Amino acid sequence: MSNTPAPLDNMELAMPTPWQQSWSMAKYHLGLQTGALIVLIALICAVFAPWIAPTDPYAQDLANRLAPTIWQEGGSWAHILGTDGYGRDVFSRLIWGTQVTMIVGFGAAVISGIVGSTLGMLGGYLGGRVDAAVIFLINVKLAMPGVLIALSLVSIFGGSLLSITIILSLLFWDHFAVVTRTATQEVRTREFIAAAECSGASRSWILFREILPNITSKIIVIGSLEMGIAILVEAALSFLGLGIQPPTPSWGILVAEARDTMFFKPHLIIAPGLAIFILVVGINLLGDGIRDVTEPQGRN
Amino acid sequence: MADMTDACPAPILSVRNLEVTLRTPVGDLQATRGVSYDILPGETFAIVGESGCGKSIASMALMGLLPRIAHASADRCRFDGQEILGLSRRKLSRIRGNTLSMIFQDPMTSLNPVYTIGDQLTEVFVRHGKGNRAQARERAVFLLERVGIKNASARLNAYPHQLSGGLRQRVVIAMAMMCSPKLIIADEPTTALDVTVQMRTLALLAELQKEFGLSIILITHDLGVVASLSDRVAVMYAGQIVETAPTAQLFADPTHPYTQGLIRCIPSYGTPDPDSELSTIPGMVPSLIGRQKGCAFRNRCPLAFSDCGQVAEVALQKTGEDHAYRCLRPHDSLIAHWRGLHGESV
Amino acid sequence: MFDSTAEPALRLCDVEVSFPVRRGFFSAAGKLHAVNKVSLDVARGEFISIVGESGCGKSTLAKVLLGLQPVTSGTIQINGKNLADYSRKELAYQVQPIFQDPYSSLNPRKSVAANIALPLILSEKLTAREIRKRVHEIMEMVSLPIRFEHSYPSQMSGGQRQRVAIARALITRPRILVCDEPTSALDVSVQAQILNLLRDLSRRLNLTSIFISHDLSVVRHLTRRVAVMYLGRVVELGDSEEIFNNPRHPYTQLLIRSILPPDPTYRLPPVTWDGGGPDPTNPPPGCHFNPRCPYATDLCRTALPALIKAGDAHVACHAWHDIDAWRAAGGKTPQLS
Repeated sequence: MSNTPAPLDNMELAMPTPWQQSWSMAKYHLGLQTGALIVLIALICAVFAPWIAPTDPYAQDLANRLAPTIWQEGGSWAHILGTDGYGRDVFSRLIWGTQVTMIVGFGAAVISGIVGSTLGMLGGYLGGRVDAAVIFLINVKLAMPGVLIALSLVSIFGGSLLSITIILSLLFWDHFAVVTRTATQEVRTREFIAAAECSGASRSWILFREILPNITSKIIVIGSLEMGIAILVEAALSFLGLGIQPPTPSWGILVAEARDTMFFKPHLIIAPGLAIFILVVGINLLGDGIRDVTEPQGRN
Repeated sequence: MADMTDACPAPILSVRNLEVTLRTPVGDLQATRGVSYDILPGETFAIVGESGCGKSIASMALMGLLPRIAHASADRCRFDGQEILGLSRRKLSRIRGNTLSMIFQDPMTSLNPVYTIGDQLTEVFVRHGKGNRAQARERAVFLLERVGIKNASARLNAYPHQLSGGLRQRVVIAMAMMCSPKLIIADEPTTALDVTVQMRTLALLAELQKEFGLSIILITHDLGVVASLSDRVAVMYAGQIVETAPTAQLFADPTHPYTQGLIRCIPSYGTPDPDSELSTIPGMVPSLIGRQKGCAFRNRCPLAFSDCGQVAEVALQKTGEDHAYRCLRPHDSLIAHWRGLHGESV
Repeated sequence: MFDSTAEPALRLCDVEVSFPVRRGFFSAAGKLHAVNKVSLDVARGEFISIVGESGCGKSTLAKVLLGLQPVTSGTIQINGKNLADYSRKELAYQVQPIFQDPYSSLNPRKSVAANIALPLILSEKLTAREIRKRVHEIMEMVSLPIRFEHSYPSQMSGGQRQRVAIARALITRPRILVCDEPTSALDVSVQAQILNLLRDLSRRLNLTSIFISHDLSVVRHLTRRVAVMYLGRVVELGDSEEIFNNPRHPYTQLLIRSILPPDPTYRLPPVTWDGGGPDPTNPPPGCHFNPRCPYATDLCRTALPALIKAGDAHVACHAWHDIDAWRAAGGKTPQLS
């Protein structure tokens, strides 16, 4: 038995870095991966629509109206999903529609996220009168029939991409405000905020450099939910003829246009409907997945 | 206590080789390894150790309260003549709160804020078929008075938030006693309480135990609590029991180097002197992810030598009637080390 | 006031903090005196403890010293200048905190170096390279390996995190350190490491340290002077030797007897109960401790005792003299509740 003394400088880290932890969880998170794949495909379609879409989505070929799909009799590779009532290529219109859908969905989520989170964080951190004002705004918003107001605003300002995006973001900011307000109140009581105050930090530093990084994952989750809802509402508005105006290929318009032929050409309505469904599910899976792998309390 | 000879009274709880594994994203974590002990009727058995040593999770496993990522197995886990590990929820709920009850650190977690304490006390009693509401009420009043709550029948209508922390913990103790349990698992029962309240709560537990012949498993990190309340102690480190002994013996002749270090770390140990350093255990607990070879304490141990990292597993060595320790060094040299620390000769 | 040195590092004069509270929906708003007329001088380089149970106002006092909680009345002077006259950034170079919970006192989204360097980054006086050098110096001082600088708090154990918190507190080279229960969330073996580190550093850097704790055995090991608080008031103040060997206030006596020694021959006293803990929003008239005090007289139930000199310490008790004489004559301490 030898008496070798044990080494004393044996300080080790107990855990891998947060990024490594998130990464190792993401590797086994099927929902996150599925969602990310769907959103990625949609993004690629939106950005590269001019190159991916086989034909011009506006080009009418009246001689070739309601052409069959590739798997139906008489279908051809020229029109994979056939053509619509004006002889336009459905597949190309679907891909171009991704662009409208993503811009509206993402734009509405980002704008409402910025507005709502700012209000929520200010209310949650400053408390007192500011908080009372924020709560009042949220209550006013909740008391208003949102969709009706959106409908009337659209009919006033018209269905341009910009106005639809802004009007939709006015519809959803309150969810961000409610969630960030509670999250901020929780983070505010933690001791590192007091430590930052004792280090001479200003209010804006504490809000944006200390609190915000700790609630971003919550904002992202809400953002993903709102993006999904915004896409659905945009489709609904376009379907009602109040949203994006034809002939712009929005998925809602595609559904609306397919109404007349839905009994004998059901694929015309199923294809955009399915696209909306899959994209919204994908976005929600992605949001949930991001929350699962980034929330610190999901660890330990 | 690897193999206790079957002494006269049959143990109320007998655990052999309890292993709990937690599945974490970074790998399997061995929360407990080969935990074995017997609890005799009417004794207080303390399990002491630092956070993460597995002392709480071992008892959670007995109560069927493990998180979903945990998996428990044992050669034996017999409570009151019945195997309880892996019992269905229905069967477990017949035991829990009945013959086996639990007291947690934070009384607010055991009390439901939306029900009066009377409702909660009587509910346990009636659910386990011990009697009707009136009998339950009678017993609740008796127990509340017993734990020192004045005006008990009026207090039955109070809600948990109307009571102070110390009172709440006494209500929790009364609730644990409702069905005359044979064993109470008390997990850090006084850690959340003020020092003056802590002493009284411990004294109450001691009295109740004598009066009702309870067995208590006392889980704590505080050796002061261990010394004042328990009959026997198991010291846990990194998921293993490293030493088990009658309480008096553990403090007189702590054998495992970890036990020795732990006792010397207590600020109230020895003569206080603002000029001298507190003794410490250098370093930190090793990661429990993946099964480790050798002694888990070797990187912090003042007596470690090359073999400590070589052996596959350090076995418990018996020394004396009821005293065992998990170390490769012989008992004499460990005791000599302990006495040497205090300037005594062997 | 109690110290004869020229200029104390910290001087509290009749500090009072009260919060409005509403006990019921219809009842008038009352006042919670979290800190009630506390006066205290702390000499430069002194290590003083403030002990008491939850609700005694010790944590509010810590917040006051850190400038996180405005006082209702009274003054606080730091190095002869009023605390209110310091700007936030100036104060950061005078007083720094170490908090109780190392799991919440570090920003989990920032690296160890960014957490430590925060006060320097905010002061905007140093270049990034200088800051990095200071961070390395301070990490060495608290025995944290430099290779941890880019790690995150979630990767660390409680003791390591508390070292990071100490490093952050010391990086501005403050004069005063306010430690609010810095080890109560840690394991005993780690607690001892952190306490030793704190004591060494405050000696080496000649820091004035205010150590707030509920654990008398820690306090006894660490500091030379102790203030005992009960319901917002200092009830006993003096050298720790004196206070532990000859406690005069009945509450101090109770606290000391509540220490559980690691001694298996120790027997718990028989249980007695009072009506539960004190209610800080509604303290009893007279001496706040009188309902729990076995020596209480009519005077105690009506008049509030002032903190007066008693032997080598200061005590706020009407009966201290009688109690002292009685104890000296070999009277057995009555059972307190």
